Amino acid sequence: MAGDFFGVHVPELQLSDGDFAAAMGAAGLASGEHYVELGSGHGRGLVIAARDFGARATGVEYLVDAIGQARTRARAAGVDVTLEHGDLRHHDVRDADVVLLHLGPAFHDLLAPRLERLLRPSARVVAAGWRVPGWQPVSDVGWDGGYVYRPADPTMHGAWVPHDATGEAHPIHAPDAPLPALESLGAAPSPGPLFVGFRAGADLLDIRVQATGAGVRASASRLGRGQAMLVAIDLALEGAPSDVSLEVHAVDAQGRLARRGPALPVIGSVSRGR
Amino acid sequence: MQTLQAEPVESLERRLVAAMRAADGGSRGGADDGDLSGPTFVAEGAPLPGLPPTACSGGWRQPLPVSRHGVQFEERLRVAVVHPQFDGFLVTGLHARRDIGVLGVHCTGTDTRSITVHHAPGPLWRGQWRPLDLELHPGVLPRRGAVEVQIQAYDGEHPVGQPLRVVLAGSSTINLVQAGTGDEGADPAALHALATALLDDRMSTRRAARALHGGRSATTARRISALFGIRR
Repeated sequence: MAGDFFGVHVPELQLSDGDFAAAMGAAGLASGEHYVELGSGHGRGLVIAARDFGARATGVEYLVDAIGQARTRARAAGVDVTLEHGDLRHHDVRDADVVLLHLGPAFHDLLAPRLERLLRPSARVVAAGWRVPGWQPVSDVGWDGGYVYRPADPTMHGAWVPHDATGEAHPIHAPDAPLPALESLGAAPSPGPLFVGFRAGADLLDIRVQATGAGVRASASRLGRGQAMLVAIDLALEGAPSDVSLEVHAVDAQGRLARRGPALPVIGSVSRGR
Repeated sequence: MQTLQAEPVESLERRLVAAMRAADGGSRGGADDGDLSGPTFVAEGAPLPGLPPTACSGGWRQPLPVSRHGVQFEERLRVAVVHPQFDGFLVTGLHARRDIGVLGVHCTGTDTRSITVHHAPGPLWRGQWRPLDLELHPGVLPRRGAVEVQIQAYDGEHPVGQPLRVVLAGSSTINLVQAGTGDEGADPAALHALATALLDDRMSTRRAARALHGGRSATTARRISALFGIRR
């Protein structure tokens, strides 16, 4: 239903059956997994998850009449779904494998920290219509009506971005130095450091950037979700060419990842060689 | 014209408004900063029997390029035409190029009862973007003319950046279904003309739309006219 009407882009208001199926397919919903829809309306998505994907489906809805219609719809479809009347902000999602959000962007933003904290690393979140600020979408799956995320997966807690996407007006050092973008890291070295950006996909603390084959400096040690920093890579101007790889280690704001070990696993890497 | 499937209960707008009401943190004409101990939110008007089953609004925006400095909304001016008997919402966002330790977003203007601002709580750090849901209460709009609301961001008690100007007008003839306006901006001159006309009265709006047909803003004017059901 989304489209341009009178030149005004209209986001999706209701998801069709095909939209629901596409969203669940993009999220990789598998038989036996737990599908949770926060703001489940009158249950079309729940029925599709249970009937077509073999999932355990739970819907959270504040409108009592919507819950009644969802129950009727599920009964007519011959599937069992769980319906809870309540505030979707307080629903316990720890057991969820796939969570679907179809709310306003402010609500997606509001729910994000709780989903990061409670979901399992393997859990996927589908945000229909509006992206979740700062989260890094899963790159290898997509759905043109929304976004698929793995918000509790540490490997999704950051991404390399071109340095000019950090919003920094000036580099960390050598303000007169050229500012190569990410793509130029494979080019011949030029005087001064190379710069790359790193954007946090969650609130990150105690950020440490480590490099092999080069010196490295980061402009921040903590970032909020969606914030970016500059990383300066100091290459040796003389001597044999070397491959450079970067790793970012951090813990999230809840300290959950710190309990698993001293640092996050590798979030991303950039290589330079010739 | 585009209408949605006739399933009123599943209207996203209604669900969103219900969720906002459930949040208990909003207050009419103010901001939902996530203070869950705040007064119970009361919104204006649920869909009435006999009316189209979906909430109705249409609107245009004047987007702003994102600056590398300061704090700014995504747009300078939003003009929205809404059905007076439906709740609805618009969406915008706030970009920060400086740290805001205590973010607040508040409304001022001729009738702040017409909009409630919802956003996630917490600080907004440099480089972050905070989406805002603007819940509309068109039931309080005047029968003719429009209201203008300024939405201002604050760091604590101090205003930051330029306010977002929102002009709201009611029209019971609208049947464009929309949950917020999207990415496409309108010609600034045409948009300001429309805002001025709306703030005057409805007939001026029609005249403004007609006049705009022959100028550079013809495309925008045609859209405006179409929305108001005006024929050339």
